[in-house]
Amino acid sequence: MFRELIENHALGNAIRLSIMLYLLPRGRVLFKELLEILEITPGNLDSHLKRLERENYVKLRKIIADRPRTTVEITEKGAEEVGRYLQTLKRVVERFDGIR
Amino acid sequence: MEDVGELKDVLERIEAKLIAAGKIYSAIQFQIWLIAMVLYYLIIFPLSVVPWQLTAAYWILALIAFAYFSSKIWKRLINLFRSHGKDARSSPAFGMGISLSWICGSIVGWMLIPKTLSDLQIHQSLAIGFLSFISISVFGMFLTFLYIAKSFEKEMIPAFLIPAVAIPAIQSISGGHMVYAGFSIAFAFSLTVIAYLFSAFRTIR
Repeated sequence: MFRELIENHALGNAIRLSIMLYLLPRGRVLFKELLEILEITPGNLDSHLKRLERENYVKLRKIIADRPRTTVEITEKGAEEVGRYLQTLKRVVERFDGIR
Repeated sequence: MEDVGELKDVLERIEAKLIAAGKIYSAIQFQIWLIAMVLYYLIIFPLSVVPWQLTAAYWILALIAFAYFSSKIWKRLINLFRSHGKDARSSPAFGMGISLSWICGSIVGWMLIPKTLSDLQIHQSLAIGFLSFISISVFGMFLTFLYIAKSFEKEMIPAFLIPAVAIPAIQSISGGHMVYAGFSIAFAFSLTVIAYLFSAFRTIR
């Protein structure tokens, strides 16, 4: 159970987990929106998103709105993985709570 | 150990927000139907005669728009269901159950009922068919949620119960049968939307 948490390096980071949790109910958001929510630098956000994209948890797309924008979309695999991660985290917490 | 309690609290809040998001998306789906139906009445009310071509074109376009928005919402709902682990709502059986509900509702409401109630006025039998179509289809969806997804969607109850209860009154109405049927469904769906929103806010309270 703990191994599962430790081994998921992509979600074992607070910013990446926050990105996934923000995306889960929304499906797709703008890069700019994530920047405002997370209050991190564009370079930092970009590196986290690239990491999530490598794992196939998100898809990055360029769109033309009022100006060229980047959208971030959660994938099926991403939704499944973040769900699994949350369930594992919950089980671990429940186990600790039982000991307490 | 205080951290564990805090983490548990955070996880519970995340779970509640995800459940609430799912309920809000369900409310939006019923709301889209409501908009399509009410807009139809707004279009036809100023007309003295409603050409069948207008009705046909409107509902074909409305169904296309509904399918488009529904597929967008459904995609997000499926992701939310997936995040709850191996949820049956993301399975093909669940999708088939939902489709079958609407197919059965269409066959009974738009084919069998107008044919078997041919002794009634055309508008009366169409209104009964319309109410039956919605009632059977939504009831089928309710059963699909209950038996395949093991989820008791109590918010859906008004959406199939009220159209069913409205059927017996059709025969005692002298005119405006389709308007009566439409408003019964609009009332029923409005209650379902409110119920979903209420559940969503109660979950995150």
